[in-house]
Amino acid sequence: MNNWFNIKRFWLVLRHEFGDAWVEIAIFVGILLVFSIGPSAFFRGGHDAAGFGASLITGTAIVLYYWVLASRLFANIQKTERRIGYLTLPASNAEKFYARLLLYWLLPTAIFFFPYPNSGMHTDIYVAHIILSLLIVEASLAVLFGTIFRRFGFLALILVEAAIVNGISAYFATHPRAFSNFDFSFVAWVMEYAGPDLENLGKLTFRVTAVPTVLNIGLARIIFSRKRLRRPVVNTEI
Amino acid sequence: MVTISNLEFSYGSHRVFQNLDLTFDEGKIYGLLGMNGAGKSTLLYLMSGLLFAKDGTVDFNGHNMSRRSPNALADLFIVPEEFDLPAMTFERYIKLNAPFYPNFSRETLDNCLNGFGMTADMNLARLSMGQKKKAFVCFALATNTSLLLMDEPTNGLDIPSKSQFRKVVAECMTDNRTIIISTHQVRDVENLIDHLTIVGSGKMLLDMPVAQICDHLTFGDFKLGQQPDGAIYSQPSALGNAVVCSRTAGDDETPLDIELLFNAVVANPDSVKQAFAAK
Repeated sequence: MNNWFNIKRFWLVLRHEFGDAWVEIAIFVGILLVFSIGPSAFFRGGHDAAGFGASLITGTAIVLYYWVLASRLFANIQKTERRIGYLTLPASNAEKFYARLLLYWLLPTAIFFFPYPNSGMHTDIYVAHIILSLLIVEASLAVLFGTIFRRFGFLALILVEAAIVNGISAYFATHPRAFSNFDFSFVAWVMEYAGPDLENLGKLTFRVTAVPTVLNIGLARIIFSRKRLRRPVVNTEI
Repeated sequence: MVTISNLEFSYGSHRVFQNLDLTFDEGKIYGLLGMNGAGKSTLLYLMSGLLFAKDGTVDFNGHNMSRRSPNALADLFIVPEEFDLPAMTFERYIKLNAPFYPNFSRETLDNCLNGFGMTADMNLARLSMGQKKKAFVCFALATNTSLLLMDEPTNGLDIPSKSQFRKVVAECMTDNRTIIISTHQVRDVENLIDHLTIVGSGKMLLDMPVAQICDHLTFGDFKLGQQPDGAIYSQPSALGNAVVCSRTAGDDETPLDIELLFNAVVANPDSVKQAFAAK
């Protein structure tokens, strides 16, 4: 039997891990459903003044939970007792990693973005593509941080990103010249690069999304393959 | 079965093992003993691929365990001292986990559960720690893996369950299986084990079959003031002194007193070594 990846074993791991994941996926679907109905509907479309604020709040809630879910990829190895059972489960590191990735990231991504293209959420197609790209790349970062920090992955991600954003802000605040010279609009760059052809825009979005996403997931996969027990909490008196 | 070669392992600056060589053969039940912090659990975790050696190798039937190959993992099972069972029925737990173990036997599981007076339709969330341990041990035995590692398996078991534990382990033992039991509760496994391994100070203090130990040493209680010839270790007991002696020609064989032997090995390892070398 293939030691690296075996479909039958992958299915067994998937079935095994679904017992852990289904509650969180169900909560995600529930949030999506609740926030898709009524005046504050995230996917309602249109930009009237009354709906925009509510739609922004619900949208933020959904996106945050989507990222938190991705960062909970290895919450099951937070406790030593559970970590022993999971790491000695007879499956390869790849099968365990991709089973959890499928349940905590790919499945929620599919559920989340299935209604997105027809939502009319962003009338500007360029902005829509940029946001889509950012959401997915950020989720892949959440997966990476979840692999490193497990249950507190999302918290660590927020702290790191806050530090980076504050660092950049502080730099521009203390270097007014640099700020005045900074004349870059990401949307304008996308519009110029992709041109009016939507196929080009699609290719650009795919590339901009795929490269960092694959890098983040690949790094997470390597880190996961080195997971072991930490210093035991018992029998260490010497 | 399991060959540990030149193993070196440490937690940060605290060295646990240095140049450790050890072999576990099939068809035996090993008792793994040691003081607190001696590295018994660490050794089990190294054998199951949960920890990686700093140097040296842990080989299980040709598999380097630090690679955690699925084929190797499917042929070993570890019962840790503390574990977490999901909140579901035991029947569902079996359905989700048994397919990973190709030699899993439902018949063995039912027999073991019967022995403990349990059934598979119980809800794991409603069980006490001792009941969970019994269920988990039954599942571990039913996997029929070549290597079964148990860390303090009798902790939390009631008195009848401890004797039942010995019974089910003995029943599930086969010639091509190795069971390693790490424990401080030596009385619980005294008549079960047939090889004793004692670790301490990062090295092996004793690694010997029980039959060979009984061939070299005798164990007995003596009244105060009576110190037999060839005594290599004594400690106060209810009857006076419990004594470990070198066995000489003509001495009757005595049952192994693991607790007494352990204390002798830890307190006076050189004398014990000399006793084994002398005969």
